[in-house]
Amino acid sequence: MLKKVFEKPTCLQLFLSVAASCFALVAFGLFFADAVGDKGGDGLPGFKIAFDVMIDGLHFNARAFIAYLIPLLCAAAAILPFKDKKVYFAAAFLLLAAGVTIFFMKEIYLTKYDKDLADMYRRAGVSLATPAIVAAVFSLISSALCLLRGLAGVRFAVAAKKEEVVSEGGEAKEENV
Amino acid sequence: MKKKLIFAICIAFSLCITLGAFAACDKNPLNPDGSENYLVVDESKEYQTVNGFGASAAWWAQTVPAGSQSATDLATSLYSEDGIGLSIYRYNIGGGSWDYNAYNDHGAGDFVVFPEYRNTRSAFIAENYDESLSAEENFADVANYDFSRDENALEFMRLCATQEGSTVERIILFANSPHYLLTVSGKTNGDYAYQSNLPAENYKAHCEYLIAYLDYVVNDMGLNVEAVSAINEPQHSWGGENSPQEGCHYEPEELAAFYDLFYDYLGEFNEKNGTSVKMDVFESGNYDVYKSKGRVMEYIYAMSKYDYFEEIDTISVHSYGSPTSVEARESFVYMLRNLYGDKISLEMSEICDMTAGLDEGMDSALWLSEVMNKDFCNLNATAWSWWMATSCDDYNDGIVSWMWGTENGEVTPTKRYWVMGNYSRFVDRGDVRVEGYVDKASDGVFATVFKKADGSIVVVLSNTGDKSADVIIPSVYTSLQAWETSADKDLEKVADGNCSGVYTAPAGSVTTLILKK
Repeated sequence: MLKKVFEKPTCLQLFLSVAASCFALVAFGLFFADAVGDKGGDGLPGFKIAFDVMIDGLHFNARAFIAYLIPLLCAAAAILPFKDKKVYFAAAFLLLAAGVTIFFMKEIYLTKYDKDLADMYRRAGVSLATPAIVAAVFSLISSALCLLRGLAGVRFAVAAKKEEVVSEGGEAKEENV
Repeated sequence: MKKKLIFAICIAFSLCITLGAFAACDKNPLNPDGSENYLVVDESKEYQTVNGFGASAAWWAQTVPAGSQSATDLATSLYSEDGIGLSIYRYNIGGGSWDYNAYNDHGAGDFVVFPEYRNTRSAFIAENYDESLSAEENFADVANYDFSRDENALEFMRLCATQEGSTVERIILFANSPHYLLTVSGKTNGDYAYQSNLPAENYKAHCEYLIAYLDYVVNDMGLNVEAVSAINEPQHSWGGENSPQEGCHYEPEELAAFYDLFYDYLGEFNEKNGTSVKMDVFESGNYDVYKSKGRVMEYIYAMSKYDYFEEIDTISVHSYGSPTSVEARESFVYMLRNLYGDKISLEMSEICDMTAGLDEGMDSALWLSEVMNKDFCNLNATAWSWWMATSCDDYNDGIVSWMWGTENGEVTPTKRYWVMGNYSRFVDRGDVRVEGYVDKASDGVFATVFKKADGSIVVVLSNTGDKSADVIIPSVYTSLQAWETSADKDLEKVADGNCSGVYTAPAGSVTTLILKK
């Protein structure tokens, strides 16, 4: 069954697309759940943290660089013109960026505090919430699937082109004969 | 075929194991039969010791005519065994906004009834202020004070504390703002939001002001003061146009530095007078550790850098930020414990229902019962105080209605008053909260459980749902008394005798049960 799926280009690409979408959907949903929190208590959803930090902390520091600039570079890379199926490479880059960002969500949250206060919050027990960890993992899995989808598209396109060349060559030989 | 059968048996077996494990996890040893609405009481598991219930005298006590029938009725309702027996009296050290009529013509909207509305009278005689002297010298000079200017409020406090059957055990003096002569804006609120309105050069003068009041109450009135609270809700903005009441914003470092000075002033006062008046810190406006404007941990952390923090064992907080959130409370408690262990206990020193329209029914009272339950069970609050004890307008910020300033005004209890009485009349200082809850509870059914020194158990049982609930009482308790507050009952005794094992909590009710073995 699986072998058949992987052998047929359309089936494989469809399978990878659906799988990647499902993982991305769950990851995106979890981004609205608590991203930082503490044992058994309250927490803050990832989108709110990102929003707050962007509003409150528009200044350069290492954590903001990791949290925002790297994903931004990834996003920029995503629009580079790949010859085939570039949309899937773009999605892969964006999802990778999202995954990395979510993994750094606690550090992003703490960017609005100076070092002393950030250390205090760490000691107080602020941690990356389980939904954020799951969201980050799902986002990275989705990214990998998108990458595979893009590579499979390229592979099948190249194979198809080779077949075309071969068949064109054959036809030319026949004509010559 | 055989393989499929084995596979199916394995799956079925795994399912049974999983379901069995879930069932075992769900079983509560304190509710062995797994009954619904089972009142669990584990007397061996003790939590905080209760340190009283109270309300604030801010803004209205100065309008209670000394010696009037209103004064007697209010004192009886609030602070006597014939009323709900509150034990904490919170006297407001005003910032003097009455001198310049700051708040009666805006902010309060249609609620304005007379000039005292939200304006506070100060004992400091502003006309005596000598510009050639420092603020500290001016405010340290007892000749600059005339306490008859706040006679009504002071006399009402005296009445409550000394009347026959008085239940007042703790007097706390608190200030919302420094005196307006000490502030940057020259007012008892900032010129703009989040303006730090007490300049560092006037910290000592503010200390002198507070100590002058303390000295008068202790030495001239002869009352025991337990604590002075110099700062109120420091994280709030307290500024800008149309500021509706006195208030002063402090940044965490400013608050911590001020307390460092005030701690020394209190120490000197105690040494001189043989008293042990404490410094109440810091009336946080909330306990929201994750909301960006909450900042409660920042203030505590700033204080922790000073030596006086070693002596701080209680922090007062207000329940305004997330009044019905279990998570917000538990996060705060969790963080405090991680940082300071069990050193800090919490008092909930202010909340009101900030909704317009006087709710004379049970809705606001049921909300109150939920807040109290969560403050005791999730915040582990040792004491609990309402904001203004009386309200004179169409707003839910009082527990009794009374037309301010009237000699013989009728004192009308709200249902909030009676629900507070479900706690304050039965739970005394020194009682201990024990593990207790309603297991497998119907929607809106919950309980707060305390143990008294004589071994009896006080259960405040709430049913905020719209259906009555049969609550199963553990068979170990053979005697039951019950007082119910509901739409048609005002803390009325509804049961007294043997415990049948089931108590029916009517829909929309709060009932105090006293259980004995």
